[in-house]
Amino acid sequence: MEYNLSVNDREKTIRIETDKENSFSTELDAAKLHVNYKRIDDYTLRLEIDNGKTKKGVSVHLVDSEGGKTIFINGVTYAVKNRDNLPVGTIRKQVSTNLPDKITPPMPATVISVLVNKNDLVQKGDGIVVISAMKMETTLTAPFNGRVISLNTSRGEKVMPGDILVDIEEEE
Amino acid sequence: MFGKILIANRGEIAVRVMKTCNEMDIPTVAVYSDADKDALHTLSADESFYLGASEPSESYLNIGKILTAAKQTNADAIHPGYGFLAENADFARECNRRGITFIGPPPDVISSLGDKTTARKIMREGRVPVIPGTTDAAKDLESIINEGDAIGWPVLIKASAGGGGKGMRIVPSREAMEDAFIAASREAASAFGDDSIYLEKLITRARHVEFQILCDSFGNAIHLLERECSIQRRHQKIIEETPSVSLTPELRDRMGSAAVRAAKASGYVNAGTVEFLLEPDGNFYFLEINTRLQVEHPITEMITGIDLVKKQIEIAAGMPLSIKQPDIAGKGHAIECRVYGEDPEHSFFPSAGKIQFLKEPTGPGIRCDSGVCTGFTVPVEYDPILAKLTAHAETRQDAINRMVKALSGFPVLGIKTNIHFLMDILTSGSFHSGQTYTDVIESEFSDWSPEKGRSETDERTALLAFIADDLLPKHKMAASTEDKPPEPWQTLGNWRIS
Repeated sequence: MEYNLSVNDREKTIRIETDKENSFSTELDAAKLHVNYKRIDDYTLRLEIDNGKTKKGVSVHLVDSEGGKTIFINGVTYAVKNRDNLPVGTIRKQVSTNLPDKITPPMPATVISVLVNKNDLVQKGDGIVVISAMKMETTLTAPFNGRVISLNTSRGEKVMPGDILVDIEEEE
Repeated sequence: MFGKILIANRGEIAVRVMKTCNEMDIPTVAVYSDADKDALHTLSADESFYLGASEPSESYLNIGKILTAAKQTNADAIHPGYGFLAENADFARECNRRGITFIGPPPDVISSLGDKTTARKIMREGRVPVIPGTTDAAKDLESIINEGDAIGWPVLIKASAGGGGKGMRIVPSREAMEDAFIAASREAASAFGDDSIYLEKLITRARHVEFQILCDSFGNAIHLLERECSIQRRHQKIIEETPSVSLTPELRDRMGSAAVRAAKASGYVNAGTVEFLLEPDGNFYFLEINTRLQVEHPITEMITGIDLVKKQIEIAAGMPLSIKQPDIAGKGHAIECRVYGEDPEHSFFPSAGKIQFLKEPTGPGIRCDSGVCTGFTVPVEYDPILAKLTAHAETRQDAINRMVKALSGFPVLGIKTNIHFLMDILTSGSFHSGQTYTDVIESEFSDWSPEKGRSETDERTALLAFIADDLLPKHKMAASTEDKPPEPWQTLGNWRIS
């Protein structure tokens, strides 16, 4: 069986051999590995990973997320995506930038101030709108160089994720 | 002793106060808003009382509604927790007027310590060192320049009515004072309607060290050692520890006595915290007294073995302190980390939503004060603190190791948290060497990215776990309510049956 996965946007193709129940073998980063696995509960797996020299047991916690699973190991979360299930181009787009390409709040928020005017030229990273949510203020910044073509919000307005607060037209 | 205590708060602190009440066999009342109908604190009390809409002004900040709740449930005391109404003198006064005991200091003490210049005056009279500077507002530019010459440049100018950094300026030299003074006055006038400005020595490289105090209503006052809270992000403490690496036994005694003098000078009763700024040369200055139970109180409880909430309740019930200063000894080292629902990859923006899975770490010397649980939807209306994790061990190094392991086994899935960021601070060179100044996060972690802490081994494990989960039969739990087919009532839309 073959999996086309990506972890934190690095792509990997992994071939596995399932020999007996609850175990598989694979080669990953030039190491031959044998994995025994067991489900503890809906969100917890126990893995025993044998690289031929040492055996290591590890508990991982995971939950389904967009395009794959979010996996918690040793205090760190890893976003593993299944590339076979994603529309072409989705991965590429996420590799290119961590920033959203729209001026929209990540959660319900209140607009504290709008820092730009219509027709302003902005540079990538410039502050565009200051919002407040859960007692914290955050500045939404320009995702690219461009020109402000419309302001769709004003001070004091309650806004939701997906609301485009300011439209910016990309300019080189 | 009280017949019933109402906890006028939510989240982890409400749950924590209820635990002590349970141990003391005192029934508890939880209050809750729309967002907290299924919150842990609502489900942890003997009875619960609905306040109203989720906005704090309609619920946890609404004095009238909380007093109504106390009356209707026959509670004879209110514990305010921290935040919300905890330092509201009017609320304390109103409780007392209605014969309900406010578990905290007297209302007049709350008001006088809440005002910066009044507090400075009280401390000066009580021989508690305050940051050198003027007590009253500067009359004019000339007089403030003379003050600056007397204290030594650079200086800090602040709005008398101030707060939140408005009207605050660092002035590097006497030449720069004119511009700074005019700008700060203008800013203060527009922000507070009062343009008066005063001046303080600029403390650049300092630690934040605070002392826990306990005072009964018979004039007995003691301190329960220090807490160092220098690890802050945007003036918000995130890691606290005790003892502080920067105190010698001699300095601890001097600062502890100053804290007790500060408590006595202000007429303090109940538990409180005296905050100091400590300079590398051992000079320390009074910052403020927090007239409440602090977020970081568990580390003091761990090393002293004293339940601070129990002491608060006993003092409020009119009992004398049963312990004296020589009885207080710290054992081992304790560290607390504040786990926030926030996204370190997007400038720590608060992250609310449904917690799909959460498992609190356990083990020797581990304490978790949590206000959330699996299945709870973290509301957007309140502070994003989820839980406080405390590790207690024999030495500082052991406590650090214990904390890092505990954090690494604290899965919170469904929302973003700062757990990974906390681990990176704890394992950093500056934290290990005790170089914990209040500027450490800005100076060393401002370009932090989650990429740094990711290990290739764990990345491979994540891939293997994905495959294992894919191969295993799904026996996911029965879907939560939102996945069930909607009931007719939910699809009726705006129609109502009358």
